[in-house]
Amino acid sequence: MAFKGKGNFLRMSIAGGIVAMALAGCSTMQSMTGGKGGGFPPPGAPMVNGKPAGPPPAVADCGMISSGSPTKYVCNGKTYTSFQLAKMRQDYEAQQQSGK
Amino acid sequence: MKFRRLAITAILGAAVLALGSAAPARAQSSPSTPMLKLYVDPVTGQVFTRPGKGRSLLTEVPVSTLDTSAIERKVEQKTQAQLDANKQQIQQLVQQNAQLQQSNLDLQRQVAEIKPAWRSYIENFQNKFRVGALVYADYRLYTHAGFQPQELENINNPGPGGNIFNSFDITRTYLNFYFFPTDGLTFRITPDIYRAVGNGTTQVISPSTQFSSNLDGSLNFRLKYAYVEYNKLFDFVPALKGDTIQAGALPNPFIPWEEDLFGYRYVTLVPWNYVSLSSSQLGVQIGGPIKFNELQYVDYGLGVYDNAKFSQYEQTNTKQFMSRLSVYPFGAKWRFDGLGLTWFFDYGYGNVAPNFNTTTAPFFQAPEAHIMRQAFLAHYTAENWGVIAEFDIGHNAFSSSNLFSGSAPSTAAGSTYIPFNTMMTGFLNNGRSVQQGFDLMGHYHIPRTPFTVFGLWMLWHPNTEVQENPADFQRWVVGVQWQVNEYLRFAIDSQNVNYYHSQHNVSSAYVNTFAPVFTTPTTVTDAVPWDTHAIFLNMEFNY
Repeated sequence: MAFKGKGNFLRMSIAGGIVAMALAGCSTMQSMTGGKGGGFPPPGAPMVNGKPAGPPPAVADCGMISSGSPTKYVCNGKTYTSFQLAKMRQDYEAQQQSGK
Repeated sequence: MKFRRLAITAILGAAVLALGSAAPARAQSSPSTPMLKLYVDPVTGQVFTRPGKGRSLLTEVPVSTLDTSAIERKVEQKTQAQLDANKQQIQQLVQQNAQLQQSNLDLQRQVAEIKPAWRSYIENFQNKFRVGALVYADYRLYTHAGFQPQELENINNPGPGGNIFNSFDITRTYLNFYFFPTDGLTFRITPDIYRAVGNGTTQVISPSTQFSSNLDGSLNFRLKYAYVEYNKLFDFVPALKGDTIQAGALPNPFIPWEEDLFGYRYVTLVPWNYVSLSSSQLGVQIGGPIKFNELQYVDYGLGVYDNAKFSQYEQTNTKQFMSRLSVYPFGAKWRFDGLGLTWFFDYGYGNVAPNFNTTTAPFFQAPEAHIMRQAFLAHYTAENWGVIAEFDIGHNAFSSSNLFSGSAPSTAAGSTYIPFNTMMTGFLNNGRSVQQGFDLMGHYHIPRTPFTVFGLWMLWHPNTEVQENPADFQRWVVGVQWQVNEYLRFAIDSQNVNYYHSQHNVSSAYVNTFAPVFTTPTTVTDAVPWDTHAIFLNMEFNY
């Protein structure tokens, strides 16, 4: 019984490799949530008119450390809730749209 | 006033001029005394200084009798009276306006007094309550179906021959209610929606009546977590500040912790959760970090619990003990930061009622046997990647019902799988089984993308006492996660179970050395189960 899956296992491994290569190609993409280059200012980064000069931490670039209500993430060594990250992102987007 | 005087003077002047222009005519009749003749229109009552159509002479006044100053005074007096009246009216209006202003001020003051109370209520509500929601859903397709444990809670699949089975599922739905009545005190209640399986039996109500069961596989509502937490108990020790004591239906100290460490609870179950240990029991526990200089060096949790899991009725006269100790030798800036070493220990019993009148031999009574689980982990976590190596050992911690929690062989009369099922019962449910497992888990976030690759490999020996145990398996999961935003993420992954031994037969005599389950000699042919392979598309919404 066990040997019956080996041919399929090989096919799935090849498919998995193709997926991995495709994803590796995506590594040049811009972060979808982090703005240019996906980077974000570390704590204490330069401020302009009391506001961060760059985009806030993007959730995809952070590490999840607690799944709950709310979920907690760590970004550049600082812990944020999902609510905080969402608000920072929305505020930044509004700021970018208004041009202020 | 000045304008009015000028106007009156002008009218009188005009009258005099008019009189002057009429003077030659009057001079002919009465040249010595200039007269002012006034004409009236009887229809309109208007008075004119000249004759005209429809006008008749009203009077003649000698010009010498006209005193312009007196007229001016009279007009002024009349105007002044009117002005005085207007002034009085204005003063009354000003007074009324002042009263209205005062009234408005009073109203504003009252509104101002009301608003803080309203705002306070809302702020108070916000600070004391929080509501969250969690949904796990998936689409799955089995290219190769077979007997296996559940990949996720509340899902099942067909056994051998059920290839290309596929389904959309909701595997978990939480509503998280948190209440913070005082500083440091939290109450949490988490109802969970889950899939019920089975049709139930007809309920006999009376000798003449019966009701059909309504257990039809609906999504049911049940309690997952309900506990009280206090986090000020240890504040007198600075290093233990924030550590908690909890009582109720609790997330135990290991499974939820490891789910957070791995990070893909919505995709698949962590090893001990996959093979038997639930994430929630009723009991009491303490736990939290131990910090020095803002660095976490130890994280612990320990407690006493029912032997039953959260969804079962407790039947035992014993209880279960669990503890977890995580050490971060270099100090962790955040929860899992850097290198960590963790030991988990669990000791309990099967959930069966005590029976001191039994004369049954203690052996082979697996449900009554002790259960022990241990896990030793070395883990390293960075913000964008993490790796976990785990070694597991257990006693009586993996039964045939665990092995077949996702899909089990039929034991209906005539089923060809009855000998196979009996064999697994003998190998696993004998009260003396020893489990062993090796696990590797990890994830890596692809820079500058919302994608993370993750994987899990598990080698599991359900009973090391069995030589070439047909149930020995490797499980592997590999996939890619797309983090859409702070609340939503998807994963596409492959989940597989490989029963890796070569196919072979097992004699009933050998099985009976573990437990006397076969009453007639037989041979279980092709004892190794079929591998299973599935593709999952998972979704998590967590708010």
